[in-house]
Amino acid sequence: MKAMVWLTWRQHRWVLLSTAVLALIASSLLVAVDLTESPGRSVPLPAFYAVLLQTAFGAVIGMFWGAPLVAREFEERTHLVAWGQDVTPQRWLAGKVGVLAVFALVLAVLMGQGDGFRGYQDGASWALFEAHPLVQAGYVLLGLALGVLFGLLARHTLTAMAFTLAAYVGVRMLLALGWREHYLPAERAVAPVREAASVPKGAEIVASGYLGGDGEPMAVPDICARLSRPAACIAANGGTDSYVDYQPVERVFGFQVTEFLVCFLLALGLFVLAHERIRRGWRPSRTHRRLA
Amino acid sequence: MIWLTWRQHRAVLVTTAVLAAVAVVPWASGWLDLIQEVIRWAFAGVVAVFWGAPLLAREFEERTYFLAWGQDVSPLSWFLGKSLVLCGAFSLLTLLIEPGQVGYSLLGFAVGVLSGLIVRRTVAAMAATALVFVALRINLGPVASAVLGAALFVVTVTMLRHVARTRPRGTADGTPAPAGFGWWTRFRATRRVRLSWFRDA
Repeated sequence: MKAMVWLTWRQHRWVLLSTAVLALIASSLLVAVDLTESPGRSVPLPAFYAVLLQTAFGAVIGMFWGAPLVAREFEERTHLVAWGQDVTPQRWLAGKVGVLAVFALVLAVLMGQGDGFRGYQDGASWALFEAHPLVQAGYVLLGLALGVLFGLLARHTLTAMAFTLAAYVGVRMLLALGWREHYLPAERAVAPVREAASVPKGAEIVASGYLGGDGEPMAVPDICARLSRPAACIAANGGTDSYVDYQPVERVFGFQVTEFLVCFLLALGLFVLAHERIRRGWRPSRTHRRLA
Repeated sequence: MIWLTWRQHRAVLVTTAVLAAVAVVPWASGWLDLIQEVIRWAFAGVVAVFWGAPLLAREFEERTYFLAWGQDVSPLSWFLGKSLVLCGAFSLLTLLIEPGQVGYSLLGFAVGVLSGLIVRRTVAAMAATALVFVALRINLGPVASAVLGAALFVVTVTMLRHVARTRPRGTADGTPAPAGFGWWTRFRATRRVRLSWFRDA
Protein backbone atom coordinates (compact mmCIF):
# COMPACT_ATOMS: atom_id res chain seq x y z
CA MET A 1 0.00 0.00 0.00
CA LYS A 2 2.74 2.39 1.04
CA ALA A 3 4.63 1.47 -2.11
CA MET A 4 1.61 2.23 -4.29
CA VAL A 5 1.18 5.62 -2.63
CA TRP A 6 4.83 6.40 -3.24
CA LEU A 7 4.70 5.19 -6.85
CA THR A 8 1.52 7.13 -7.62
CA TRP A 9 2.90 10.30 -6.09
CA ARG A 10 6.19 9.84 -7.88
CA GLN A 11 4.64 9.29 -11.30
CA HIS A 12 1.80 11.78 -11.11
CA ARG A 13 3.12 14.50 -8.83
CA TRP A 14 3.25 17.15 -11.56
CA VAL A 15 -0.31 16.71 -12.71
CA LEU A 16 -1.48 16.37 -9.09
CA LEU A 17 0.33 19.52 -8.03
CA SER A 18 -0.77 21.62 -10.98
CA THR A 19 -4.39 20.57 -10.59
CA ALA A 20 -4.17 21.30 -6.88
CA VAL A 21 -2.79 24.79 -7.54
CA LEU A 22 -5.55 25.43 -10.08
CA ALA A 23 -8.22 24.20 -7.68
CA LEU A 24 -6.80 26.27 -4.83
CA ILE A 25 -6.84 29.44 -6.91
CA ALA A 26 -10.34 28.77 -8.22
CA SER A 27 -11.82 27.93 -4.87
CA SER A 28 -10.21 30.91 -3.14
CA LEU A 29 -11.66 33.16 -5.87
CA LEU A 30 -15.11 31.65 -5.41
CA VAL A 31 -15.02 31.98 -1.63
CA ALA A 32 -13.59 35.50 -1.82
CA VAL A 33 -16.47 36.60 -4.03
CA ASP A 34 -18.89 34.83 -1.70
CA LEU A 35 -17.62 36.77 1.28
CA THR A 36 -17.84 40.24 -0.27
CA GLU A 37 -20.78 42.09 1.13
CA SER A 38 -21.71 44.18 -1.90
CA PRO A 39 -25.15 43.28 -3.20
CA GLY A 40 -26.02 42.00 -6.64
CA ARG A 41 -26.11 38.63 -8.31
CA SER A 42 -23.58 39.21 -11.08
CA VAL A 43 -20.41 37.15 -11.36
CA PRO A 44 -17.13 39.12 -11.66
CA LEU A 45 -14.75 37.92 -14.38
CA PRO A 46 -12.10 36.16 -12.21
CA ALA A 47 -14.85 34.30 -10.43
CA PHE A 48 -16.34 33.42 -13.81
CA TYR A 49 -13.14 31.54 -14.68
CA ALA A 50 -13.47 29.75 -11.36
CA VAL A 51 -17.10 28.88 -12.08
CA LEU A 52 -16.02 27.47 -15.46
CA LEU A 53 -13.48 25.26 -13.72
CA GLN A 54 -16.08 24.23 -11.16
CA THR A 55 -18.46 23.22 -13.93
CA ALA A 56 -15.79 21.26 -15.77
CA PHE A 57 -13.77 19.91 -12.85
CA GLY A 58 -14.86 16.29 -13.25
CA ALA A 59 -13.90 16.44 -16.94
CA VAL A 60 -10.47 17.85 -16.06
CA ILE A 61 -9.86 15.01 -13.60
CA GLY A 62 -11.10 12.44 -16.10
CA MET A 63 -9.07 13.74 -19.04
CA PHE A 64 -5.81 14.55 -17.31
CA TRP A 65 -5.72 12.08 -14.39
CA GLY A 66 -7.88 9.16 -15.51
CA ALA A 67 -7.35 8.77 -19.23
CA PRO A 68 -3.53 8.75 -19.30
CA LEU A 69 -3.29 6.45 -16.25
CA VAL A 70 -3.39 3.16 -18.14
CA ALA A 71 -3.27 4.47 -21.72
CA ARG A 72 0.19 5.96 -21.28
CA GLU A 73 1.53 2.72 -19.84
CA PHE A 74 0.34 0.88 -22.95
CA GLU A 75 1.45 3.60 -25.33
CA GLU A 76 4.97 3.85 -23.97
CA ARG A 77 5.01 0.09 -23.35
CA THR A 78 5.94 0.65 -19.72
CA HIS A 79 3.14 -1.73 -18.72
CA LEU A 80 5.60 -4.52 -19.37
CA VAL A 81 7.70 -3.21 -16.49
CA ALA A 82 4.86 -1.96 -14.31
CA TRP A 83 2.89 -5.20 -14.38
CA GLY A 84 5.88 -7.53 -14.35
CA GLN A 85 6.55 -6.89 -10.64
CA ASP A 86 5.36 -8.57 -7.46
CA VAL A 87 2.23 -6.43 -7.57
CA THR A 88 -0.43 -7.89 -9.84
CA PRO A 89 -1.94 -5.61 -12.51
CA GLN A 90 -5.30 -5.43 -10.74
CA ARG A 91 -3.68 -4.45 -7.45
CA TRP A 92 -1.56 -1.92 -9.29
CA LEU A 93 -4.73 -0.45 -10.79
CA ALA A 94 -6.66 -0.54 -7.52
CA GLY A 95 -3.79 1.11 -5.65
CA LYS A 96 -3.31 3.87 -8.18
CA VAL A 97 -7.00 4.58 -8.59
CA GLY A 98 -7.45 4.56 -4.81
CA VAL A 99 -4.71 7.09 -4.20
CA LEU A 100 -5.82 9.31 -7.07
CA ALA A 101 -9.46 9.09 -5.97
CA VAL A 102 -8.62 10.20 -2.43
CA PHE A 103 -6.60 13.12 -3.77
CA ALA A 104 -9.38 14.01 -6.22
CA LEU A 105 -11.98 13.92 -3.45
CA VAL A 106 -9.96 16.38 -1.39
CA LEU A 107 -9.77 18.74 -4.37
CA ALA A 108 -13.48 18.25 -5.08
CA VAL A 109 -14.39 19.29 -1.54
CA LEU A 110 -12.24 22.36 -2.10
CA MET A 111 -13.94 23.12 -5.43
CA GLY A 112 -17.40 22.81 -3.91
CA GLN A 113 -16.87 25.55 -1.36
CA GLY A 114 -18.06 28.71 -3.07
CA ASP A 115 -20.58 29.56 -5.75
CA GLY A 116 -19.02 32.68 -7.29
CA PHE A 117 -21.98 34.98 -6.61
CA ARG A 118 -21.45 38.17 -4.65
CA GLY A 119 -22.65 37.75 -1.11
CA TYR A 120 -22.94 34.47 0.68
CA GLN A 121 -26.01 32.55 -0.41
CA ASP A 122 -27.44 31.17 2.77
CA GLY A 123 -29.71 28.30 2.00
CA ALA A 124 -29.88 26.13 -1.05
CA SER A 125 -30.72 27.11 -4.59
CA TRP A 126 -31.38 25.07 -7.72
CA ALA A 127 -29.26 27.44 -9.82
CA LEU A 128 -26.19 26.70 -7.67
CA PHE A 129 -26.76 22.96 -7.46
CA GLU A 130 -23.19 22.09 -8.48
CA ALA A 131 -21.56 24.37 -5.91
CA HIS A 132 -21.57 21.72 -3.20
CA PRO A 133 -18.70 19.47 -2.03
CA LEU A 134 -20.76 16.29 -2.31
CA VAL A 135 -21.86 16.95 -5.88
CA GLN A 136 -18.31 17.84 -6.91
CA ALA A 137 -17.07 14.65 -5.24
CA GLY A 138 -19.49 12.58 -7.30
CA TYR A 139 -18.45 14.25 -10.56
CA VAL A 140 -14.77 13.78 -9.81
CA LEU A 141 -15.21 10.06 -9.16
CA LEU A 142 -17.29 9.68 -12.30
CA GLY A 143 -14.72 11.48 -14.44
CA LEU A 144 -11.86 9.45 -13.02
CA ALA A 145 -13.70 6.17 -13.61
CA LEU A 146 -14.61 7.08 -17.20
CA GLY A 147 -11.01 8.11 -17.90
CA VAL A 148 -9.50 4.91 -16.48
CA LEU A 149 -11.91 2.65 -18.35
CA PHE A 150 -11.48 4.43 -21.69
CA GLY A 151 -7.72 4.44 -21.22
CA LEU A 152 -7.81 0.69 -20.68
CA LEU A 153 -10.00 0.15 -23.75
CA ALA A 154 -8.38 2.63 -26.14
CA ARG A 155 -4.74 2.07 -25.11
CA HIS A 156 -3.93 5.44 -26.66
CA THR A 157 -3.76 8.58 -24.58
CA LEU A 158 -5.24 11.09 -27.02
CA THR A 159 -8.09 8.80 -28.02
CA ALA A 160 -8.85 7.99 -24.41
CA MET A 161 -8.89 11.69 -23.52
CA ALA A 162 -11.27 12.51 -26.36
CA PHE A 163 -13.65 9.67 -25.48
CA THR A 164 -13.54 10.60 -21.81
CA LEU A 165 -14.42 14.19 -22.60
CA ALA A 166 -17.31 13.20 -24.86
CA ALA A 167 -18.68 10.61 -22.44
CA TYR A 168 -18.37 12.90 -19.44
CA VAL A 169 -20.13 15.78 -21.19
CA GLY A 170 -22.89 13.37 -22.25
CA VAL A 171 -23.43 11.90 -18.78
CA ARG A 172 -23.20 15.29 -17.12
CA MET A 173 -25.83 16.74 -19.47
CA LEU A 174 -28.04 13.72 -18.92
CA LEU A 175 -27.79 14.17 -15.16
CA ALA A 176 -28.23 17.93 -15.08
CA LEU A 177 -30.98 18.25 -17.68
CA GLY A 178 -32.67 14.87 -17.73
CA TRP A 179 -32.50 12.85 -14.55
CA ARG A 180 -32.08 15.43 -11.83
CA GLU A 181 -35.67 16.68 -11.93
CA HIS A 182 -37.01 13.18 -11.45
CA TYR A 183 -35.14 11.93 -8.37
CA LEU A 184 -38.47 12.43 -6.53
CA PRO A 185 -41.96 12.84 -8.03
CA ALA A 186 -42.62 16.54 -8.58
CA GLU A 187 -45.19 18.40 -6.51
CA ARG A 188 -48.13 19.90 -8.37
CA ALA A 189 -49.71 23.32 -7.92
CA VAL A 190 -53.19 23.63 -9.41
CA ALA A 191 -55.28 26.74 -10.15
CA PRO A 192 -58.49 27.40 -12.10
CA VAL A 193 -57.90 27.32 -15.84
CA ARG A 194 -57.93 31.11 -16.30
CA GLU A 195 -55.37 31.73 -13.53
CA ALA A 196 -51.72 30.84 -13.28
CA ALA A 197 -50.85 28.33 -10.56
CA SER A 198 -48.58 29.90 -7.96
CA VAL A 199 -45.30 28.18 -7.18
CA PRO A 200 -43.31 28.60 -3.94
CA LYS A 201 -40.25 30.83 -4.09
CA GLY A 202 -37.06 29.24 -5.40
CA ALA A 203 -38.74 26.13 -6.76
CA GLU A 204 -37.51 24.46 -9.95
CA ILE A 205 -40.33 24.19 -12.49
CA VAL A 206 -40.41 20.77 -14.15
CA ALA A 207 -43.53 20.98 -16.32
CA SER A 208 -46.65 23.08 -16.74
CA GLY A 209 -49.88 22.85 -18.70
CA TYR A 210 -53.58 22.22 -18.30
CA LEU A 211 -55.60 19.47 -16.65
CA GLY A 212 -58.59 17.90 -18.37
CA GLY A 213 -61.85 16.94 -16.63
CA ASP A 214 -60.32 13.65 -15.43
CA GLY A 215 -57.57 15.49 -13.52
CA GLU A 216 -54.84 14.27 -15.89
CA PRO A 217 -52.65 16.61 -17.97
CA MET A 218 -54.28 17.12 -21.37
CA ALA A 219 -52.72 17.75 -24.78
CA VAL A 220 -53.21 21.36 -25.85
CA PRO A 221 -55.36 21.37 -29.04
CA ASP A 222 -53.66 22.86 -32.11
CA ILE A 223 -56.13 25.73 -32.40
CA CYS A 224 -55.33 26.83 -28.83
CA ALA A 225 -51.56 26.44 -29.13
CA ARG A 226 -51.48 29.24 -31.72
CA LEU A 227 -53.12 31.75 -29.39
CA SER A 228 -51.12 34.04 -27.10
CA ARG A 229 -53.74 33.70 -24.31
CA PRO A 230 -55.05 30.19 -24.76
CA ALA A 231 -56.94 29.91 -21.44
CA ALA A 232 -60.43 30.57 -22.83
CA CYS A 233 -59.84 28.23 -25.75
CA ILE A 234 -58.56 25.51 -23.37
CA ALA A 235 -61.61 25.92 -21.15
CA ALA A 236 -63.86 25.57 -24.20
CA ASN A 237 -62.05 22.34 -25.12
CA GLY A 238 -62.58 20.67 -21.76
CA GLY A 239 -59.69 21.97 -19.69
CA THR A 240 -60.63 22.60 -16.06
CA ASP A 241 -57.40 23.63 -14.33
CA SER A 242 -53.91 24.89 -15.04
CA TYR A 243 -51.05 23.17 -13.28
CA VAL A 244 -47.33 23.55 -12.61
CA ASP A 245 -45.13 20.63 -11.56
CA TYR A 246 -42.18 21.79 -9.45
CA GLN A 247 -39.45 20.64 -7.13
CA PRO A 248 -39.47 22.77 -3.96
CA VAL A 249 -36.24 24.37 -2.84
CA GLU A 250 -36.22 22.32 0.40
CA ARG A 251 -35.36 19.24 -1.66
CA VAL A 252 -32.05 20.62 -2.96
CA PHE A 253 -29.86 18.98 -0.34
CA GLY A 254 -31.55 15.62 -0.70
CA PHE A 255 -31.11 15.80 -4.45
CA GLN A 256 -27.45 16.71 -4.05
CA VAL A 257 -26.95 13.59 -1.95
CA THR A 258 -28.85 11.58 -4.57
CA GLU A 259 -26.72 12.99 -7.36
CA PHE A 260 -23.59 12.03 -5.43
CA LEU A 261 -24.92 8.52 -4.94
CA VAL A 262 -25.83 8.17 -8.63
CA CYS A 263 -22.36 9.33 -9.70
CA PHE A 264 -20.73 7.17 -7.03
CA LEU A 265 -22.57 4.03 -8.14
CA LEU A 266 -21.87 4.75 -11.82
CA ALA A 267 -18.20 5.28 -11.01
CA LEU A 268 -18.08 2.11 -8.90
CA GLY A 269 -19.57 0.13 -11.79
CA LEU A 270 -17.02 1.54 -14.21
CA PHE A 271 -14.14 0.82 -11.81
CA VAL A 272 -15.34 -2.77 -11.42
CA LEU A 273 -15.49 -3.11 -15.21
CA ALA A 274 -11.93 -1.79 -15.52
CA HIS A 275 -10.77 -4.07 -12.71
CA GLU A 276 -12.34 -7.15 -14.31
CA ARG A 277 -10.93 -6.22 -17.66
CA ILE A 278 -7.38 -5.94 -16.32
CA ARG A 279 -7.78 -9.04 -14.10
CA ARG A 280 -8.80 -11.27 -16.97
CA GLY A 281 -5.45 -10.46 -18.49
CA TRP A 282 -4.44 -7.91 -21.05
CA ARG A 283 -3.57 -9.38 -24.37
CA PRO A 284 -1.48 -7.45 -26.83
CA SER A 285 -3.77 -5.28 -28.96
CA ARG A 286 -4.33 -6.19 -32.59
CA THR A 287 -1.82 -3.58 -33.71
CA HIS A 288 0.79 -4.88 -31.30
CA ARG A 289 0.21 -8.45 -32.42
CA ARG A 290 0.64 -7.37 -36.02
CA LEU A 291 3.88 -5.58 -35.21
CA ALA A 292 5.27 -8.50 -33.26
CA MET B 1 2.08 17.05 -47.65
CA ILE B 2 -1.65 16.55 -48.13
CA TRP B 3 -1.21 12.78 -48.16
CA LEU B 4 1.08 12.82 -45.13
CA THR B 5 -1.22 15.08 -43.15
CA TRP B 6 -4.27 12.98 -43.98
CA ARG B 7 -2.42 9.79 -43.17
CA GLN B 8 -1.18 10.99 -39.77
CA HIS B 9 -4.23 12.91 -38.66
CA ARG B 10 -7.10 11.04 -40.27
CA ALA B 11 -8.50 9.77 -36.96
CA VAL B 12 -8.82 13.21 -35.44
CA LEU B 13 -9.94 14.71 -38.76
CA VAL B 14 -12.71 12.16 -39.20
CA THR B 15 -13.85 12.39 -35.58
CA THR B 16 -14.05 16.17 -35.72
CA ALA B 17 -15.86 15.99 -39.05
CA VAL B 18 -18.45 13.67 -37.46
CA LEU B 19 -18.80 16.13 -34.58
CA ALA B 20 -19.33 18.95 -37.09
CA ALA B 21 -21.89 16.88 -38.98
CA VAL B 22 -23.83 16.27 -35.77
CA ALA B 23 -23.81 20.01 -35.17
CA VAL B 24 -25.03 20.89 -38.66
CA VAL B 25 -27.80 18.37 -39.36
CA PRO B 26 -31.21 19.77 -38.32
CA TRP B 27 -32.48 17.09 -35.91
CA ALA B 28 -35.48 18.93 -34.47
CA SER B 29 -35.17 17.24 -31.11
CA GLY B 30 -34.60 18.97 -27.79
CA TRP B 31 -31.72 16.79 -26.70
CA LEU B 32 -29.76 16.90 -29.91
CA ASP B 33 -30.33 20.64 -30.17
CA LEU B 34 -28.61 21.00 -26.83
CA ILE B 35 -25.73 18.80 -27.89
CA GLN B 36 -25.43 20.90 -31.06
CA GLU B 37 -25.29 23.99 -28.89
CA VAL B 38 -22.46 22.49 -26.83
CA ILE B 39 -20.51 21.49 -29.95
CA ARG B 40 -20.89 24.95 -31.48
CA TRP B 41 -19.75 26.54 -28.27
CA ALA B 42 -16.74 24.29 -27.78
CA PHE B 43 -15.62 23.63 -31.35
CA ALA B 44 -12.70 26.05 -31.37
CA GLY B 45 -11.55 24.54 -28.08
CA VAL B 46 -11.62 21.06 -29.59
CA VAL B 47 -9.48 22.30 -32.49
CA ALA B 48 -7.05 23.91 -30.03
CA VAL B 49 -6.68 20.92 -27.72
CA PHE B 50 -6.93 17.98 -30.12
CA TRP B 51 -5.51 19.39 -33.37
CA GLY B 52 -3.06 22.12 -32.33
CA ALA B 53 -1.42 20.83 -29.18
CA PRO B 54 -0.38 17.34 -30.32
CA LEU B 55 0.90 18.51 -33.74
CA LEU B 56 4.45 19.29 -32.61
CA ALA B 57 4.32 17.88 -29.07
CA ARG B 58 3.79 14.32 -30.28
CA GLU B 59 6.70 14.58 -32.71
CA PHE B 60 8.93 15.60 -29.83
CA GLU B 61 7.51 13.16 -27.31
CA GLU B 62 7.78 10.11 -29.56
CA ARG B 63 11.00 11.46 -31.00
CA THR B 64 9.68 11.06 -34.52
CA TYR B 65 10.91 14.53 -35.37
CA PHE B 66 14.30 12.97 -36.01
CA LEU B 67 12.64 11.11 -38.85
CA ALA B 68 10.16 13.76 -39.95
CA TRP B 69 12.69 16.58 -40.20
CA GLY B 70 15.49 14.52 -41.65
CA GLN B 71 13.83 14.19 -45.07
CA ASP B 72 14.09 16.18 -48.28
CA VAL B 73 11.29 18.39 -47.05
CA SER B 74 12.75 20.98 -44.71
CA PRO B 75 11.23 21.25 -41.22
CA LEU B 76 9.80 24.64 -42.10
CA SER B 77 7.97 23.51 -45.22
CA TRP B 78 6.89 20.33 -43.38
CA PHE B 79 5.30 22.52 -40.73
CA LEU B 80 3.84 25.04 -43.16
CA GLY B 81 2.40 22.30 -45.35
CA LYS B 82 0.79 20.50 -42.43
CA SER B 83 -0.56 23.71 -40.94
CA LEU B 84 -1.98 24.80 -44.28
CA VAL B 85 -3.85 21.54 -44.78
CA LEU B 86 -5.11 21.41 -41.19
CA CYS B 87 -6.05 25.11 -41.14
CA GLY B 88 -8.00 24.63 -44.37
CA ALA B 89 -9.80 21.61 -42.93
CA PHE B 90 -10.84 23.12 -39.62
CA SER B 91 -11.70 26.50 -41.18
CA LEU B 92 -14.07 24.69 -43.52
CA LEU B 93 -15.64 22.76 -40.67
CA THR B 94 -15.98 25.90 -38.55
CA LEU B 95 -17.56 27.77 -41.46
CA LEU B 96 -20.12 24.99 -41.71
CA ILE B 97 -20.97 25.11 -38.02
CA GLU B 98 -20.69 28.75 -37.05
CA PRO B 99 -19.01 31.18 -39.51
CA GLY B 100 -18.34 33.72 -36.75
CA GLN B 101 -16.00 31.34 -34.96
CA VAL B 102 -13.29 30.95 -37.62
CA GLY B 103 -11.13 33.53 -35.83
CA TYR B 104 -11.39 31.57 -32.58
CA SER B 105 -10.46 28.32 -34.30
CA LEU B 106 -7.40 29.96 -35.84
CA LEU B 107 -6.37 31.34 -32.45
CA GLY B 108 -6.93 27.95 -30.82
CA PHE B 109 -4.82 26.15 -33.38
CA ALA B 110 -2.00 28.70 -33.06
CA VAL B 111 -2.06 28.52 -29.25
CA GLY B 112 -2.04 24.73 -29.38
CA VAL B 113 0.88 24.48 -31.79
CA LEU B 114 2.96 27.04 -29.90
CA SER B 115 2.38 25.40 -26.52
CA GLY B 116 3.23 22.04 -28.09
CA LEU B 117 6.52 23.51 -29.30
CA ILE B 118 7.32 25.01 -25.90
CA VAL B 119 6.13 22.21 -23.62
CA ARG B 120 7.00 19.27 -25.91
CA ARG B 121 4.73 16.81 -24.09
CA THR B 122 1.31 16.03 -25.48
CA VAL B 123 -0.82 15.88 -22.34
CA ALA B 124 0.87 18.85 -20.70
CA ALA B 125 0.58 20.85 -23.92
CA MET B 126 -3.12 20.02 -24.12
CA ALA B 127 -3.66 21.23 -20.56
CA ALA B 128 -1.72 24.44 -21.16
CA THR B 129 -3.62 25.03 -24.40
CA ALA B 130 -6.98 24.57 -22.71
CA LEU B 131 -6.08 27.06 -19.98
CA VAL B 132 -4.66 29.75 -22.25
CA PHE B 133 -7.33 29.34 -24.89
CA VAL B 134 -10.24 29.66 -22.47
CA ALA B 135 -8.71 32.80 -20.99
CA LEU B 136 -8.21 34.36 -24.44
CA ARG B 137 -11.53 33.17 -25.85
CA ILE B 138 -13.50 34.94 -23.14
CA ASN B 139 -11.66 38.22 -23.48
CA LEU B 140 -11.16 38.60 -27.25
CA GLY B 141 -13.46 39.16 -30.19
CA PRO B 142 -13.20 37.03 -33.35
CA VAL B 143 -11.15 39.56 -35.32
CA ALA B 144 -8.67 40.20 -32.51
CA SER B 145 -8.43 36.43 -32.09
CA ALA B 146 -7.54 35.93 -35.73
CA VAL B 147 -4.87 38.67 -35.55
CA LEU B 148 -3.37 37.26 -32.35
CA GLY B 149 -3.51 33.77 -33.87
CA ALA B 150 -1.54 34.96 -36.90
CA ALA B 151 1.01 36.64 -34.63
CA LEU B 152 1.43 33.52 -32.52
CA PHE B 153 1.83 31.52 -35.71
CA VAL B 154 4.69 33.77 -36.81
CA VAL B 155 6.30 33.31 -33.39
CA THR B 156 5.93 29.54 -33.77
CA VAL B 157 7.53 29.54 -37.21
CA THR B 158 10.45 31.63 -35.95
CA MET B 159 10.99 29.39 -32.94
CA LEU B 160 10.67 26.26 -35.03
CA ARG B 161 13.28 27.49 -37.49
CA HIS B 162 15.63 28.08 -34.60
CA VAL B 163 14.88 24.71 -33.01
CA ALA B 164 15.27 22.85 -36.27
CA ARG B 165 18.53 24.60 -37.12
CA THR B 166 20.16 23.98 -33.78
CA ARG B 167 18.85 20.44 -33.60
CA PRO B 168 20.86 17.60 -32.68
CA ARG B 169 22.45 19.71 -30.01
CA GLY B 170 24.20 17.60 -27.45
CA THR B 171 26.62 18.16 -24.63
CA ALA B 172 29.98 19.73 -25.19
CA ASP B 173 31.84 16.44 -25.49
CA GLY B 174 29.64 15.31 -28.34
CA THR B 175 27.32 12.90 -26.51
CA PRO B 176 23.68 13.40 -27.52
CA ALA B 177 21.29 15.30 -25.31
CA PRO B 178 19.67 12.98 -22.77
CA ALA B 179 16.19 11.62 -23.27
CA GLY B 180 13.29 13.61 -21.89
CA PHE B 181 13.19 16.76 -23.89
CA GLY B 182 11.80 19.10 -21.26
CA TRP B 183 13.18 22.59 -21.40
CA TRP B 184 15.06 22.11 -18.15
CA THR B 185 16.78 18.97 -19.40
CA ARG B 186 17.73 20.68 -22.60
CA PHE B 187 18.93 23.71 -20.71
CA ARG B 188 21.11 21.59 -18.50
CA ALA B 189 22.42 19.61 -21.43
CA THR B 190 23.32 22.61 -23.52
CA ARG B 191 24.54 24.94 -20.80
CA ARG B 192 28.14 24.00 -21.26
CA VAL B 193 27.87 24.50 -25.01
CA ARG B 194 26.42 27.93 -24.53
CA LEU B 195 29.13 28.86 -22.02
CA SER B 196 31.74 27.78 -24.53
CA TRP B 197 30.25 30.19 -27.07
CA PHE B 198 31.00 33.04 -24.71
CA ARG B 199 34.49 31.79 -24.02
CA ASP B 200 35.28 31.46 -27.73
CA ALA B 201 33.93 34.94 -28.39
